[in-house]
Amino acid sequence: MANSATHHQSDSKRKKVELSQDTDTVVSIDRISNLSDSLICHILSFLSTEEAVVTSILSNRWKPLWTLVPKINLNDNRREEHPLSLTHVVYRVLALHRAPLLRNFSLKSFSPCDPFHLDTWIHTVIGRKVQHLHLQFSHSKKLVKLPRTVFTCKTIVILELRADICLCFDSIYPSMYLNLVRLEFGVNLSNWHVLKALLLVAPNLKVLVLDKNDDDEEDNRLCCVGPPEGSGCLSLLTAFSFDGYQELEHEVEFVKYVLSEERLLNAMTIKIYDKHLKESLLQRLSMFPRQSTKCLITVE
Amino acid sequence: AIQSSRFSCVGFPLAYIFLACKKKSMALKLKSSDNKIFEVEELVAVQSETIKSLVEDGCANNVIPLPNVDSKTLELVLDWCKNHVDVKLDEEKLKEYEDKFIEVDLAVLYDLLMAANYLNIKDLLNRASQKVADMLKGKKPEQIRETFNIVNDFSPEEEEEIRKENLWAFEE
Repeated sequence: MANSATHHQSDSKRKKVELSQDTDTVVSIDRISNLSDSLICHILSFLSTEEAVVTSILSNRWKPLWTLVPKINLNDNRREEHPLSLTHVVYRVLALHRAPLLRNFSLKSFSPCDPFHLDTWIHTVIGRKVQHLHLQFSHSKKLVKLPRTVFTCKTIVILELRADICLCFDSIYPSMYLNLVRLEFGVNLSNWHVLKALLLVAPNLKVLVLDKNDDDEEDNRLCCVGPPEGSGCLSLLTAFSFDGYQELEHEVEFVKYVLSEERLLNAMTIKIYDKHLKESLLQRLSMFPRQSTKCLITVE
Repeated sequence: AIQSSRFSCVGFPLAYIFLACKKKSMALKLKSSDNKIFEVEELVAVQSETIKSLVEDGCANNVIPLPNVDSKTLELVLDWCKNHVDVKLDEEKLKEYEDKFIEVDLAVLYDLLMAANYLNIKDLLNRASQKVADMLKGKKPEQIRETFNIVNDFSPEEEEEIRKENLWAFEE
């Protein structure tokens, strides 16, 4: 595959593959298989792992390629009728995966995940120097216990957590997420303290995206709300977005805190469900004291 | 992302472009594989990281030969670059342009893909890769083979085995 770059001058002379279809002979060239491994892997990285695995059956050339894609992206959208559970699949994929670096690990599940397994997987991907970790457990009534290993990872640049996440305070290690620049977090009443804990250990965070789902709020365990204690945290934040803002007391307090503390903030986007409130909310937000002079507030 | 050097240096060493090194000018001259000369603004051309590093090293005053890119492809690539000089222009219009731009024959798509990789133009490489990925998505293996003319060199037994091993990925 080393010569893939020199192709197009010599296409006509290159391997021509003759496909015999009954009596018709179609002469066509398989150029995609002649691309380099890295280029094919780059293409495969735009697919889910499941879709990439399907290409292993195309030919010998394709068989190992999905294992070299620096990205694992698994979800259990239509897993119910499959014989293997998502848990088995994650173990298998992690075992077969051979790319030296695993940049992106994304796991979406509709059911809660056994903390023991989750911990094992996170250990594995941290060992592979994961930079973008995305965990999403939607519609699960049970709390997901976030393993303490998440807090020991030093390579993470983007962290996306969308779940009812529960965290014991004693499990926060004093380590710092020095590389973390983007945090996307699914907030609800019961996990504000997790968010706060994360913000305290992410001094270089530039983008914070909060996303609130208001359907599943039947067990309102509101704990430890309010802005993070101590100044200096979030000092590099440039963009903040809050989807599903309802002007609850602790939410207002948090937004107020962000506006009054962040010097570098240049965009704050608040998305609300009730569109009639847009203008009045924007007015209220504009009244809050602001540290950054160039911050643009948008209400959607 | 992908390192361009891994692909670009195969077949011809970039080093020989470093012949005449003078101060940079506003317009750059690029020579395609079929020896056509394209004169382009530096701002347009430096969206190629490969060309950018030549300019930064002060090695882009003479004609820059691009022996891996033919004139037809280079024209397309430069059109892409011209439309991406100021990305802040209008997101919607840019997306419209990109969608239209990438609606090409498979042969042209390969040319663009390899040119973008060789010239190291990240957004074009991603857009072209995305397009190929979209063509792979949701298809049965037989359909993929047909689309891309891939020859199945497995024996029926081998194929059955791979299918069994990866049963979880196949929608049956």
